[in-house]
Amino acid sequence: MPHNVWFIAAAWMAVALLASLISIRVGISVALIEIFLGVIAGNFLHFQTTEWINFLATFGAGLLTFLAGAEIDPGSLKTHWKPAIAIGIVSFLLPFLGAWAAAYWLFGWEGRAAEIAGVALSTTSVAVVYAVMVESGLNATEMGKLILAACFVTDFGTVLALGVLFATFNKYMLVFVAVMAVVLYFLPRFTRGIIERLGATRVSEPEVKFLFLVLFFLGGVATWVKSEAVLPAYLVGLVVAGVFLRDRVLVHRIRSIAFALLTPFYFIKAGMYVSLPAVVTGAAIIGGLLLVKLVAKGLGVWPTGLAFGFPKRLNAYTTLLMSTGLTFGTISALFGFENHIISQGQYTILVTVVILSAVVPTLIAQKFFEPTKDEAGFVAGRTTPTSAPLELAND
Amino acid sequence: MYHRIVVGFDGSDSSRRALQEAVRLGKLCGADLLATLVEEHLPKYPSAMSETTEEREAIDAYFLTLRQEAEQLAREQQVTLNVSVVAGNAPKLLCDVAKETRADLLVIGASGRSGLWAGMLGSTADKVVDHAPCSVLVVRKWPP
Repeated sequence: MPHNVWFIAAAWMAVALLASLISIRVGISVALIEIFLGVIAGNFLHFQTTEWINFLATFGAGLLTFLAGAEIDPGSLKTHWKPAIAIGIVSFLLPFLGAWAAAYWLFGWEGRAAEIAGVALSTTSVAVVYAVMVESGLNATEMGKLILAACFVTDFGTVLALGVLFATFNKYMLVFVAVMAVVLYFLPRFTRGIIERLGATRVSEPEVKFLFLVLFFLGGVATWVKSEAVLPAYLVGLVVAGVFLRDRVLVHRIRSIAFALLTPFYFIKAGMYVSLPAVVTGAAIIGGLLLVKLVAKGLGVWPTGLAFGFPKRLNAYTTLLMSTGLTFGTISALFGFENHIISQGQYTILVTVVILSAVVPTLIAQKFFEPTKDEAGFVAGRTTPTSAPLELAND
Repeated sequence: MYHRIVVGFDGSDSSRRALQEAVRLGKLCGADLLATLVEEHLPKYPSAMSETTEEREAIDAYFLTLRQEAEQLAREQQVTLNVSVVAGNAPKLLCDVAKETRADLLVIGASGRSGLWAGMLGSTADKVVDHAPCSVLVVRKWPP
């Protein structure tokens, strides 16, 4: 019975269902609850992974990465490219270097493990930031769009670092780069063509299958060259973003498939490897790395925001939001653990810091720095705050 | 006689009874009626932007249906009903609305959509009764 695939699947899906029910009740995302239940399942119920669970979990992480790239509004990035790129780069670079240095010099981690710490703690969770901004209405303003664009740049840095730092550079890498370049070049027009021409036969889901085909293929090529499948997934999301966002049904279908069948396996698995004793013994390092992430984000984003003329309160809010992390942080940590770059103790520390970084800055931002409507309407580069809606602000 | 009645409505059977009772009382007393629909918060710390977007759309659609249902009931009973949708903590918001509108009666269902949870943490009705600035009518789903 323990090896019966159906019973194993049923046990995992029971945890996923319970996570959904708890999530609905407590108002916290199902992802976070799945991680918490995964911790219980791993520490007390002795859940184990199998090859097929690993595949579903990996594809779940890939789809989340794809969505993170695809859900970005290319227009916002174009409109606010200067502040978005400046804030996004420092928001990635300083925490990456800070967490790497702290892990290496302060906590004595090995070089590669410290690099994983740097990557995992360099992220900004665009989904968490977006959710916070929807609550305050900031998402509909130009300022909100600028912050989201900056998050995208930061995540791009994270994904690039994960894809490049741990790849094996040889002749196969050139093949990978060439294949990626060709696929990414033709992908937007192919995707658009499939959506437009085959839209009438949607019941057979050709557009979903097409995107899955591309993700499977590029994921295969990436892992073949010992890189990480999230890099192509994010880039695929990025190049189809404009097409993808116009087709709300497609977004809904892909998110539904991911959340119902794939991401539960990923998040439960991510929680399963967290060792509760290691949370206790590593408490000081957890606190230290969280502090490093928040301070490094502050040192990077705060002065850059001021340089672009953000009002102080809004700048503090932006800095705190840019300090959040969740999905990419856990993906990076899990990559490190599964590839034997970090130990289970180090994985536990990183995932705990990532989860805390989703919660702590958000609470501080909402409690003390939530912008007023006038402040939220501020657009970088203007001399006075404005509450102008998008259409006016783009003039 | 009541002059201004606030009723909490969340789509549960119990709150539906509360709405019907409030409309009946409002008609009887000629009181101003305000139905307050309290939204749940969006899930915090999501893993994808579309999670928030779709949840927002689902909440908006659900509360539009509730608003239409409340307005339909008022039309049938030939009373004027103002409907407001607010987001946040239900007991606190209902008490705040009663205070701001200077209501003299707050009508709520005995058990809302949080029935199971309420057993452990206390129901919305318990909290409203404790903190309301006016009289509270707690309407049971079935007559005792």
